[in-house]
Amino acid sequence: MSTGLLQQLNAYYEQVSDSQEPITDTDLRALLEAPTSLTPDSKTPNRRGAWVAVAAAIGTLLLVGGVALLVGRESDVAVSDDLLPGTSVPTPNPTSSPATTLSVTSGTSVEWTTVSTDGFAEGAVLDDVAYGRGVYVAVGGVGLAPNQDAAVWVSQDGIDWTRVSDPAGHFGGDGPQEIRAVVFGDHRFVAVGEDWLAAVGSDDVPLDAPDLAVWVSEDGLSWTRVADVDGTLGGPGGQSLGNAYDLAYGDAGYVFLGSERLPKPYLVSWVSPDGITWSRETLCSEDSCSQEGLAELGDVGFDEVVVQALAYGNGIYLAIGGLQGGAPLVLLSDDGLQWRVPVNLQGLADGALLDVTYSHGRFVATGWNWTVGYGAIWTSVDGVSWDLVVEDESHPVFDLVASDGNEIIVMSKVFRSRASAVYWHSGDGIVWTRSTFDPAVPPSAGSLFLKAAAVANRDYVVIGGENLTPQGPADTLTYIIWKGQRR
Amino acid sequence: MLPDEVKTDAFTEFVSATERPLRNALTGAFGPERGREAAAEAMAYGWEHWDQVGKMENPAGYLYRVGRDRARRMASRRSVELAPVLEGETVWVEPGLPAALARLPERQRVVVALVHGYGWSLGETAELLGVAKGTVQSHSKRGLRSLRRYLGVEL
Repeated sequence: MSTGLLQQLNAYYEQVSDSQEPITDTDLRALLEAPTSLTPDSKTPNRRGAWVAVAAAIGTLLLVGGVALLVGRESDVAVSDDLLPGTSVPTPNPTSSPATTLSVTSGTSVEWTTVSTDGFAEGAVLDDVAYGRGVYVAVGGVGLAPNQDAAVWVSQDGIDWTRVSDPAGHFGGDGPQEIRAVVFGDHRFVAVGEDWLAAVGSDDVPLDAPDLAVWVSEDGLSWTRVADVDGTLGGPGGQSLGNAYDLAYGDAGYVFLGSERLPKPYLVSWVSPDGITWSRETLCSEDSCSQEGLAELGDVGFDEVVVQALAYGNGIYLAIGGLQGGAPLVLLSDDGLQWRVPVNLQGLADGALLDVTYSHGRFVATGWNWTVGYGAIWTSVDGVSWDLVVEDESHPVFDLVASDGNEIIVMSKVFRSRASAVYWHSGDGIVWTRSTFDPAVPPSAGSLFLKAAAVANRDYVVIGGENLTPQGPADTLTYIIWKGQRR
Repeated sequence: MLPDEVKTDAFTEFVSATERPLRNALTGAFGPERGREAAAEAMAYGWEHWDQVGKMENPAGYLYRVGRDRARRMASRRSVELAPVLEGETVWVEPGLPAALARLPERQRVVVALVHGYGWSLGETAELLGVAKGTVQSHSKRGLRSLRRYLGVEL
């Protein structure tokens, strides 16, 4: 080598730059599907959901989250390009493991109805839904920052909803609060969210510096905010739920993964045996993942480890997501505090993982296949060896899965037309049925965005919204709840 | 909501100032093909959400993150396809340099590209990436150290 490294780097990138065409209006028009000019009118609704989702899906949490607080809210939708009006549903092309049987229906097995949301206040934000003790519990917030309060709604049938009263002020306080996720386990609902404590945007409190907040309820109707006496959920810097707005309940108790900035970022797990007393453990710092079981990850740090969802089963807490560059990420833990990467991860080479649940003795992960761009479903008993059980060429991504331990439903969080509103369901994790989710909205309605689903007694309750965008003004959001009942 | 003409003018000005830096950064991180595509998509995203993005303190930095996330999703596995070294150029470049760059963690690679490839200052790089200057410096040092080790050079 006759020249120094720095000189070579400069020369190399000069070559790259010289050989690369600048991005022009033409490129942007093509992307925006604008036939004539780059004007606001040229926007096509199908693009809105697609690219909005890019920002929200991975990696931009703190920035987007801060912005969302000011101008609306963040959605955890993932990218979906198959949103063109009139998109048809081609014949499915599933690639199944030998044990998998596929049957296809035409939406005849489940009757979907749109539930009245009269019980929800204007400006309500719904983030998650769970079922337990005979009631559905939906969580989120009401109002706009800086006056947003956390909120909970309950329903016995998934149809008639009532907002839980809060006479003791557990959902309010200074600054905005919002509940991000809820789970039912051990005869108790546990909900986790964020509390920005003081006026958002003030000089003293950065936008990305909330504390975590936990609420518990025995019946879904009466809630108490957990006192964070030792600062496990808060403290200096910002603590938030990170990318995975998810809680899992298992033998070690309630577990969730989130982030902390001091001001450097850390990936942290929080664990509680009862939802009230919490402990925490750092998985990754800005530059490395220090836990012994994570050494396999190599030289990656906080923002390269993107956790999307959690589940518990077979004695294992399992977190799924992705690494920088797109490699699938699976983390396993026995206690929710110490995590490990499976050394011989199999069956996910082309997978992008976005959600996970556990049912009938196996984990069910959903996402998409990189190489072909199809929505995909995988199952695994141990979280290490995975089988691709569904690959649906009609849908680019499946990023929502819910289960009650029996019935499983897999959906996409973003869709535009009824025809593209495909979902899969299974009663055993082995036989999967493809169906069409008729959301019962007028044909002229905009894109629909699903947020979460709960399954109970073989019925489904799905919460979402119409024209819901991560950064859209909150007062334009129209939240919708659908209930699917098995015929 | 901004009037159409105001939005268009403001966005055009923004693109004029940030198209190249954004494209360079994403190209540095993900290679020319994926980087350019990601930059274009980030710009398109910026147009669609200009009402919000235009008000941000650091819209270019925000769109870098949008593009970065898009590029990550485009990726098949963790490999990064960087452009091969062209022959016959004035300055000789080790043919293994792209492969060595591809072995770097994404953050080190983008810092090396911006600071040492495109000549950005630490401050400019830190602003776009949304990190502290010290972090840029650290990634730069570690990236160069790894490159020298991969290529077996001292300089």
